[in-house]
Amino acid sequence: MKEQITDKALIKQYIQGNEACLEMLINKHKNKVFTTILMIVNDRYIAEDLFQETFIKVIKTFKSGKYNEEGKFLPWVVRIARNLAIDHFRKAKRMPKVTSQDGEDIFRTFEISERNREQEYIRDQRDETIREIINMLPDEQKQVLVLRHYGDLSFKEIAALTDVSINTALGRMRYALNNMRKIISEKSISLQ
Amino acid sequence: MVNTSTLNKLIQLSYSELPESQHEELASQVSDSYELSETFAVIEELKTLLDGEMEAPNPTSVKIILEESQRSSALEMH
Repeated sequence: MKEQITDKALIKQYIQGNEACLEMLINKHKNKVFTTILMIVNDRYIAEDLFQETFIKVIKTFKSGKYNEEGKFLPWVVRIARNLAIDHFRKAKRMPKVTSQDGEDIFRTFEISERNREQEYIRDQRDETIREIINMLPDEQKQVLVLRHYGDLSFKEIAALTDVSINTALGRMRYALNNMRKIISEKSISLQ
Repeated sequence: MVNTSTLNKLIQLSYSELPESQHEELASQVSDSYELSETFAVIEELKTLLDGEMEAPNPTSVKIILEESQRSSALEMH
């Protein structure tokens, strides 16, 4: 049976010059990191950019010798991704609003067209509905749900990251699951 | 009705975040109680739905990252 190589071993070998180990590390965690970013920014194209930025930052940290081996790899990467997503929103807020001749916000138009194209990627209607439900949750609940479920951060880590107590983080998760359940029930979506 | 504290513990149980002794104790209570097992089943079902939402990045994104790594390694050697 093929033995799973630990993140620690892959990182060590990558730092020593084995490029293949980086590919293994990315492939091992890419879906969780990408889904976390996608759930935060809710735009596939921005998520792709932030995914690349996140791992390029990871590479730079490895190569600078600043990586702290004591922490878990995935939660560390997710924290980087979350910070980049927050920076993205801050920058987007500062961006001047450009309008077309008829006064329409061209970024809004771009966003709509991107979203339409995004629909092409989504094959399963039910999955799309679940994503809509996640996006309907209040931000604080959505954040805990995404960081715990997709980002693999523990409730303790989420509490520290969001500056709340562990009971508050758990409470937000409880409300998130409860609200999801209510919406599913209202929309009559089968859990099977 | 399952109280708030127990609900929190069930969520932690579901994500394997309880200390081993508490994990075993609560898992045993869940298997003995209809109400707890029903509540725990709902949490697990919601988690399964969330799992279905997992998405992969475009392979080009991974390729760009790997190329950036190789480029920076090559620069380091010079």
